[in-house]
Amino acid sequence: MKYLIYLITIIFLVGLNLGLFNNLQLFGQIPNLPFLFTLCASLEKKSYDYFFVAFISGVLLDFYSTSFFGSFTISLLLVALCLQALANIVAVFELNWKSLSLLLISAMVLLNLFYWSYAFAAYKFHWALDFIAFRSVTAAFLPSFFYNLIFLYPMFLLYNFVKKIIDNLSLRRTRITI
Amino acid sequence: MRFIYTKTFAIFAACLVALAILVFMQVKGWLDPIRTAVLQAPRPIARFAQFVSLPVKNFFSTIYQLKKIAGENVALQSQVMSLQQALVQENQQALDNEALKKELGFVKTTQMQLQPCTVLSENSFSLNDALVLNCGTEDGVQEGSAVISQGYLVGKIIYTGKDSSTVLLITSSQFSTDAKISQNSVNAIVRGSFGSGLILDQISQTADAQKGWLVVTAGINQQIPKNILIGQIGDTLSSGGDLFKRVSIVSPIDYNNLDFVFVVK
Repeated sequence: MKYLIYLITIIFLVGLNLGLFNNLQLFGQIPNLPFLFTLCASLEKKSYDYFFVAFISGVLLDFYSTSFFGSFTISLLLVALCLQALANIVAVFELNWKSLSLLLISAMVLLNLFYWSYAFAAYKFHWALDFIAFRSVTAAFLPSFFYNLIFLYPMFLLYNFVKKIIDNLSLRRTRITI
Repeated sequence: MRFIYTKTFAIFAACLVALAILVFMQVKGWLDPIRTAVLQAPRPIARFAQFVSLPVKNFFSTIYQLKKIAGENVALQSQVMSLQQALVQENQQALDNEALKKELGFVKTTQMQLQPCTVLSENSFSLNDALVLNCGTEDGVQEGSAVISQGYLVGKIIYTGKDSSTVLLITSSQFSTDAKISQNSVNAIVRGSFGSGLILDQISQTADAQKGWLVVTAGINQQIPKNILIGQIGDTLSSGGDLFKRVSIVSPIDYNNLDFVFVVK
């Protein structure tokens, strides 16, 4: 059930991303809501749900992307893994604007790096006909970062809301079972 | 505990395997039906979000366009002003061109040595019916030289400077020169008349002076060559009892709108 809720949420975020932000671009950039949702999910300690969220978000983004299939999926999986490792290593992890900004910037750097590396590897192995230049990936990093930063906290609240729904559902199931 | 033995790694590896299967399916083209279904799923949400965001986008783009239009308006206004100024200059140049063409039409046929001059101003030195030219002694202009326009006498030089000179128009009451009727070579005097234009005076009462006959310079004054057109005989101004006959002269030259003239050297 929880995976269905995650799936519906991610589809909702993709639809929102496409419909809303295509008309509200900032220097030609739009925020990446599924990426932000994955980032929030990966900060959850002692949970493996972030794999599912990262995988589904990545597959959906790959379907909408023009690059070789799997670029977003592998990138989001790796970024989620790195952030989860960071969340587990740092014992006291207080979420505030400073830590969220630092997390976002490092996540975006890793995402761009993995995304470009995968596309380059696909080109080198002759799976893809061309690859995007690293400069074009990093060209709009700053406007993209600021736009994503604006929506990071709302996504964090959304993730908490979704988590609460899932927890309530699992509690009900436990009560019914008992 | 090694990472590869952890549940995290197992799930990660499973995701990689699933991804590899999906990539294989994509390469084979088997992923297209799933892709179509996945692309269609967020459509209703995307449409609704677009429906909400489009008026917002239009609102801000209209405001942005207004500012741009205002800027364009200012630029266009300034362009219109400069084009109007250019148009005025072009109109003036067209008029000058016409005047020059008329002058050149005469210059080609004449054998006189002519110095082209531009009229700088009118009515200087408190003289009515006087012009200032941009030619002076440096250009070979002398006092007393005839000034012509389109082949007609318009005045004589009364003052010369280094690079300018003053012309007394033929219509001035202070102007007079010898003339003759071209048809019968009857000598007379041409005078300017305040308010009356040109008058041919001191014609013998017995001499014939019919309306329409040409009046030219007689050449008695050596500085004003002979046979320069002055005008045509108009109305008779004297009566039979006067000592001399007086007639008016009609000239085609507009003495108030002279821009280019020639000084006879």
